[in-house]
Amino acid sequence: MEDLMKLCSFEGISGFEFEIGNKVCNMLRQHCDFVDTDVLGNVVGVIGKGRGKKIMIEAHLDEIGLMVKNIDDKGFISFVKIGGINPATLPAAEVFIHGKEKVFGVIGSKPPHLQTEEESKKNYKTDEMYIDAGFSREELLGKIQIGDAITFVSKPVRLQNEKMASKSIDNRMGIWCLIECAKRLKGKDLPYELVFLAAVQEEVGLRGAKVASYSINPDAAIVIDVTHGISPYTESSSNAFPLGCGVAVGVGPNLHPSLSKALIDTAKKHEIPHVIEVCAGNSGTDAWAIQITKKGIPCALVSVPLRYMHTQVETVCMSDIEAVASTICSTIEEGMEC
Amino acid sequence: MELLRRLCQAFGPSGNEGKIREIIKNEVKPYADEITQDTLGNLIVRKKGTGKKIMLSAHMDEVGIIVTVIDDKNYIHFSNIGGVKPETLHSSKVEFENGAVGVVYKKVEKPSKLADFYIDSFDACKGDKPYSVKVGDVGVMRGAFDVFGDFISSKALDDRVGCYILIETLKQISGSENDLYFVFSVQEELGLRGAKTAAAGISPDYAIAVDVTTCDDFPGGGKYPLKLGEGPAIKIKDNSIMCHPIIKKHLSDVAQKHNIKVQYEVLDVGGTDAGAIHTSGAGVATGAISIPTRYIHTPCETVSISDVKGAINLLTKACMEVL
Amino acid sequence: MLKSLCNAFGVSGCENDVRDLIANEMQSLCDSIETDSMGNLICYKKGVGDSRRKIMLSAHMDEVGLIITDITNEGYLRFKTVGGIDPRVLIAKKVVIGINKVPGVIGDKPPHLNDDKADKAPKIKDLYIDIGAKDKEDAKNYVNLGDYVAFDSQYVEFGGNLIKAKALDDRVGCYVLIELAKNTYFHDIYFVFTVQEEVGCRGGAIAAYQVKPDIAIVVEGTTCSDVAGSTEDGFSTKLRHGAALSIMDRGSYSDIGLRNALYNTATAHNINVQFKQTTFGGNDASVIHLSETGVRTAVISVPCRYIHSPSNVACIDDINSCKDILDKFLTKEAALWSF
Repeated sequence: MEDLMKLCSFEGISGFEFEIGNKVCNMLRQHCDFVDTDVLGNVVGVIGKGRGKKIMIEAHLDEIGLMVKNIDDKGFISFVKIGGINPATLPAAEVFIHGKEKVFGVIGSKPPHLQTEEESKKNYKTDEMYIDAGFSREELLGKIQIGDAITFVSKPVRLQNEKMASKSIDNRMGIWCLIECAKRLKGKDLPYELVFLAAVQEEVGLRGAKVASYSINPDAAIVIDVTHGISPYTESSSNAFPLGCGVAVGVGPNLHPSLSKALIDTAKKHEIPHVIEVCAGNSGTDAWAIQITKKGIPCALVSVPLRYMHTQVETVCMSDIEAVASTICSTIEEGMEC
Repeated sequence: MELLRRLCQAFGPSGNEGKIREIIKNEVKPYADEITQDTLGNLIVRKKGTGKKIMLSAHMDEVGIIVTVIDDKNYIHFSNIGGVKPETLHSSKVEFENGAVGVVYKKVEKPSKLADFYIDSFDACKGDKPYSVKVGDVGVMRGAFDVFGDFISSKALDDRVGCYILIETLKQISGSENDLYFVFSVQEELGLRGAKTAAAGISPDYAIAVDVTTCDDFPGGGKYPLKLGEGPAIKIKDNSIMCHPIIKKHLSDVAQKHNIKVQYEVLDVGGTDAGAIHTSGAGVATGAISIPTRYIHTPCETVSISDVKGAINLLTKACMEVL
Repeated sequence: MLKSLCNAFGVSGCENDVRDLIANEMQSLCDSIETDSMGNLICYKKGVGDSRRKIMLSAHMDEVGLIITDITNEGYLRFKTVGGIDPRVLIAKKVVIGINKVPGVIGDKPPHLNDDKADKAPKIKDLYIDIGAKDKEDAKNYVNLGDYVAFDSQYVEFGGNLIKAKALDDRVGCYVLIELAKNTYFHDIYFVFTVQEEVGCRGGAIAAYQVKPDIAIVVEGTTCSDVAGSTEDGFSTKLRHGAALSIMDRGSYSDIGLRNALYNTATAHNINVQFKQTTFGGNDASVIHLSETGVRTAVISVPCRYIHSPSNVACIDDINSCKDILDKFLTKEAALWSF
C-alpha cells in the first residue's frame, strides 16, 4: 500500500504530467530494458524489444484537477475544471496551485447565511466558487498566473479491511499495476515484446493514448483503469461492483472477445476473484482510442471498482488491485493469441 | 485593412471555401516557395527552411446555413453549417454563393431552434432561373465590414482575421531557419476537419493555430477575463487542447522580449484547429494565438486592430526564432 | 440474399454471422478477401482498366441491438442498448440472445401499476428481458453477461413492392455491394463491409486506414420520415423516390464533385434519385473522409422508414435505384473521373 500511497501523492493534472512522468520513468526504469518519453509526455517502458508480438499494457498517468482562470482585484482566484469533476464535491476542498511556487489555498463560496433560500437549496456551480490563497492580488501575481495547474490536497488514508482513500487513485492504481507487472514479468522468458505505457491526458479526451499507440502500434493492448464501486446510492441495475470483488474484466464492442476471454479464463484457472463488466459501447477508457488506431489494435480492459470517482476521497480495496496485476501477469505468462 | 475587408466579405461557409482560397493564393504567391492544395481543400503555403517543421494554421471557413427543403410556396427551410445561433439569425439577411439574398424570419412566436425559422427569398425557386436557389445551396449571414477607431466589426472575422494574420506574417518573414507551413484550413466549424488531414500530410514538429476566442468584456458578460484591445491571447487550454509547454513558453518569451502586450486564455468551452493537430500521428507540440472577439458567430463579430497587429508581430517574431 | 442478410444476427461487436454469410458469397466474386482485427471484411476486386485507381465502397454489417448487463435474482435479464434505440419501440418485442439465439420477450412495468405515469416513456433501466428462467442460477444456464441481443423480426414483403425487416440499416448496403461485386469495373474496387458503425463508426476508421482509397462511397440505409404527422421539411427522404445522396450531415460534408457525378449519372440514365434533405445523422463517411490525409467521400442511401426499430420498411425500387446508380457510375463515369 505504501507504493500506491506514494504514487497518489504525486501531482500531475492532464497536460501537466512532465514532472510526474519523470518520477514514473525512474520507477519503470528499474524493471524495463529502457524507458522513453514522447512529445506529449507519455512514458513508455520496454522489455524484450523484438522478441515477438508486441503487447502493450497501459494505464493513464494524469489526474483530474483545476486550472487558474483569473485572479480578481481582491486576490480571489477563479478556476476551470480539468476533467469531469462534480462541482458539488468542491466546497471547502484544499488545493495546491502550481505556480512559480506551490501556493496552498481553500475553495470558498458565498456563505449560506448570505444566500437566499432559493440559492441555498442548490449546489454551488464552478463559477460561484473561488480559491482563497490568503494573499492579495499583487502578492499573488509574483507567485502564480492564469493557466497554472491546481491539484487537490488529500493525504492518502488507510480505511478498514485493506481499503484506502486518496485523491487520484484514478489512475495511480493503474500505474502501480503497470510497474508491478513490469517487475513480475522482467526476466521471464516470454515470446513477446512487452511495452508499458503510462499515458497522459486521458481525463480530457484519451489524447495521450491516441498518439502513443500510433507510434507504438502494438499487436494487442491491455488497458488498466477504474470502474464504479457500489455505494449506498448506486442502483443494483447500474454497472457497479462491490469493493473486494476482484478484477472487473470488460466485455463489449470496444474490447476484443478473445482477449477478454483469455483474461477471464486465466482468472478462473488461478482462482483470482473477478467479475464481468459489460460496456455497451464506449468503455470510457483509453481502450476507446487505442482500438481504432491505425489498422486496429485489439484491446482488453481490466478495472478496479472505486467509490467516489473523481473526488478527493476515491476509495479502493487493495486486494482488487492485486487481482488486476496477477490476472494480467498470469494471462501473459500463459500465452495470448494476438 | 483592405485585404482583411476582402477576406471577411468573401463567401466561404464550411465545405465551400473556394473563393477564400483564391484570394489567399493570389496574395501569397510572391512570398511562397511552394503552394499546394490537399484532398479536402486545405491550402498549404510553404516557406522553406532547413530547420524544424512548424505548421501555422488558420481556418478559411465561416459558419452559415444550408438549404434542405424548398416548399410548395418557395419558402426555404434550412439547417446550420457550424454553430450559428438561432437568435442572431432572426430578421437578418443571408446571402447565397450566386448573390441571391433571403430574409430569415420565424415560423412560431417564440422560436428556440433552427427549425423554427424559414428563409424568404425571391430567388428561391425549384426552376432553373439564372438566380435560383436550390436544395443543398449554402448561404452566409450578411454583415458589413466597418471600422470604428481601433475596432473592426464584420461577419466572418472568425477566422479570416487568422488568415489575414498568417498572410501578413508570411510577408514579413525573411531568413528564418524554420521550415514554415502556412495552412489555410477547411471545415473547422464542422469539427476541426481540415486541420486533421493537413497535419497528417505535413507531420510537423511544432504547430501554432491562430483563431478567434470569446471575449465577453461587455454588459452581462465577464465570465472570462480577456479584454478587447489588451493584446492577442496566448492560449493555455480550451476543450480541444491543453497547449504544449514548449509553445506556451516560446510565445510568452517572444512577447516579453519584444515588448508585445499579450493576455492568457483559459477557456472551458470550444476548440480550434490546434486540437486536431496536436493528436495527429505520434503527437505534435502545439499551441495557439487567439484574437479576443466579441459576438462570435454573429454578423457583427468585433475585434481590435491593435490586437491583430500585436498578433502579427508575435507570430512573426515567434517564427523567426528557433524553437 | 437480402432476406438472409436481414434475418442474420449482427449486433455491433458481434457481426460474425453476417460476415460469414457475406464472405461466403463474395469468395467467388473477388480476387482477395480479408478479415481485420476488429472484424471488417475487406474484399478486393481488380479492375480491367489500364490506369486504375482505388475505389472503396463501404457498407456496415452491424445493426443496433441490446447487450445483457445483469441477471436479477428472479432470472430476468437487464440490458443496455448497443447503438441508438428509442426505448419506446422495445416494449413487448421479441428478441434472440447470444450465439445460441435464446428467445426472449421484453417486459415493462404494467400500466395499471404505473400510477399516473402510464403515458410516460420508459427508461431502459425499467425494462427487462424474460426468457422464462426460474431464477438467476437457471438463467445462467442459457445466457452470459455481455451476450448480444437482436430483434426477432422476420423479413416480409408487403404493400406495393415494400419490405419489412430488422437491420435494413445497413444490410441493404451490404446487399447492394454484393450485387455490384458480380460485375467487373474499370478501377480496382474494395468492397468493404464494416463493423461497429452504430457505436461510433469504429470499423470504418481502421478499414479506410488499411485500404487507403482514392475515393470512397458509403452505401447506407437512412432515415425516411415521409409519414403521417410529419411535414416536408422533416421528411429527410421520401420512399419510392430513389436512392438518396447526402449533401451534408453531422459527420461529413460529401465531396461536391463526387456527389454531383453520382447525381448526374442517375439523371443521365433516367434512374430515380433524390437528395437527403436534412443534416441529421452520421455514418462511416465521417471517419473515412478524414482518414490520414483525407479521402474524397460521398454517401448514397436507401430510404428506410422506422429505422433503428425491429420493423424497418424500405422499397425494393429504391434499393435497385441505389444499385443501378453505382453500377452505371462505376462502369462509365468513374473511368473518366479525374482523381
